[in-house]
Amino acid sequence: MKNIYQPIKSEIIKVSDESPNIKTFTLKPSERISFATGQFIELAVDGIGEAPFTPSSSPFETETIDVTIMQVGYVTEKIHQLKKGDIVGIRGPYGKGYPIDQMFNKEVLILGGGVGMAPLRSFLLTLINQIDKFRKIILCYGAKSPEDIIYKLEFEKWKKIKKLEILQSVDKCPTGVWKGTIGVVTCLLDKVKVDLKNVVSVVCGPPVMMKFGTKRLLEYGFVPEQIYLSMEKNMSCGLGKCGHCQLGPYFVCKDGPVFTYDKIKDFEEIWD
Amino acid sequence: METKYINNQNWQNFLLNQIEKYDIFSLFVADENNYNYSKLSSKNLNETVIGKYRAQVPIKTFFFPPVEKIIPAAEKKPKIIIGIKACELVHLRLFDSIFLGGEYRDTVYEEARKNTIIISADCTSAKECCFCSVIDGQPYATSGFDINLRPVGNGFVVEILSEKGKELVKKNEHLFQDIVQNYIIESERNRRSVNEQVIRINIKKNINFTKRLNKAVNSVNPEFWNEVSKECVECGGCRFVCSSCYCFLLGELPDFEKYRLWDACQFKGYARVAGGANPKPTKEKRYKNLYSCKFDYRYTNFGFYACSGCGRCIEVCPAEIDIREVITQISADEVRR
Repeated sequence: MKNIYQPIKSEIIKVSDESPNIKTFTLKPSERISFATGQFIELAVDGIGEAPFTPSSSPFETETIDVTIMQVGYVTEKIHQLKKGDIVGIRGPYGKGYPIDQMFNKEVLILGGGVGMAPLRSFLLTLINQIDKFRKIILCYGAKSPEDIIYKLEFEKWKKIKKLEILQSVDKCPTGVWKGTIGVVTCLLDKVKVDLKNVVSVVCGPPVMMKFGTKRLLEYGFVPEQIYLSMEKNMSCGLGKCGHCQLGPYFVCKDGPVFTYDKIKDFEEIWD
Repeated sequence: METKYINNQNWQNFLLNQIEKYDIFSLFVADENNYNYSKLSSKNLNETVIGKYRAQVPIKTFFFPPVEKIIPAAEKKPKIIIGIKACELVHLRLFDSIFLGGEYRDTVYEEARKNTIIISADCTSAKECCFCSVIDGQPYATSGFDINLRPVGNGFVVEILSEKGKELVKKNEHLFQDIVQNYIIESERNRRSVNEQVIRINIKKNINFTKRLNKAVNSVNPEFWNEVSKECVECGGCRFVCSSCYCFLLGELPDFEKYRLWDACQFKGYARVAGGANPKPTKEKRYKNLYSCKFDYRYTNFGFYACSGCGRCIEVCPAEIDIREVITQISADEVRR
């Protein structure tokens, strides 16, 4: 019987700086791990602890997995100290990812904020890989300041892709170098046009951005069933056992982390 | 279900026959009104009791210890636990649903369950905090055991339910007798009497709540939770003695070894994420969560409450919060609306 808590040892083969407090780690697991975009893994630092992260790489890349991690707490601080060649543990993938098939032949409006772009990068790469199956993809991405924008070089490449429209904003720009939109990410929604009958929106970012992003999408005319939210709760075991990530009768780790808004809108703690 | 009779002397012989093969845990008198499980040996065999009611310590400790190394997991020695009461079996049903249900089977828990024979026993009395009979239960087991004992006269009516139970009885066949109808009648009378005792205790305390608690819990005025949790000191005691609370933390040791330990939704850090966001930031919200979890969410998931009326949370609460009074108030609030 396989012990469900046993991690797979994985080598860090590359560390990339994305912003002052965000790094992308490229991991090579000792056993192949395949995931669906939107699913998450538990990443263990030896002797320190585990934390959940959604891979930021394409699920079509099967040799390695990228995880993009912001330094926010004890475990992420230790992860940020790791170097190429260090070994971490991986469990998973867990949960249900984005239902890509249900988005075929539709417009997809992606709304991302800060490090919330990490799962969205995986999602976007999945869509780009089969872009003919979608009518149009719009990515609205907001960061605190220009230097907080992650995947800067990739954004330049993505901007050249036909059928993919990219809008970016920054909350503020003290240095004055930013020529684009200044304001919270929801202000970008004023600039996009979608066919409300045939569109879905995928939202991922900090809780406050998710809250106001969802509110704005509803005002725009989206119905709750059209809004996919990637929820962040304390997914500790990842297996629906430990209880920490419960959201109403759901466990975010096994029933999510992706939920349509209609499934969870009645639970008061969704944005906390 | 096969039914036999065993007298007290033969019961002791039966236990003696198992001591070498199994670690046997049975109830012993802890103090005047309490029982606890201890390991049985030939030396303390005469002191073991079946217990008028459930033990102080919850049964989950045998299958889900307060701290346990899970990687690598320790090998589990075969166990027999004797004297488990019906309310505990309800709890185990919930644990099985969580740990063995769904996509992933928790192999550490599964191993402990597989290697344990459960010999339950009818309650012969009730504590002032017992309320199984008013919350979908009764003070005697009807499922979830391998063998059940109904104390009668000078011995027990023995109900044999599972293959594990049948095998154990078969190996000691000479100690068991065919059942006598009078014993069945006597044990049925005992069952009715204890059930009525539990109902009487609760009527006396004006405990009266709706059977549809799942809806009621989530529709009361938010102010209500401030009021009922006012005295709560967030010690988590009620969650730790509760046999149907299963929340745990995972801890990391060097070389990717792991352990797990009990956690409780009463604690501030319970749901907090690394960035500091906390979906259950206040005492009131956390206090409400325990009722929503027990009477609504787990009911939605499995079709039964995560509470069996064992009353341990009432016994242990330093603030003297009585879960029965809270759910009675919730019900009254629903009726008013």
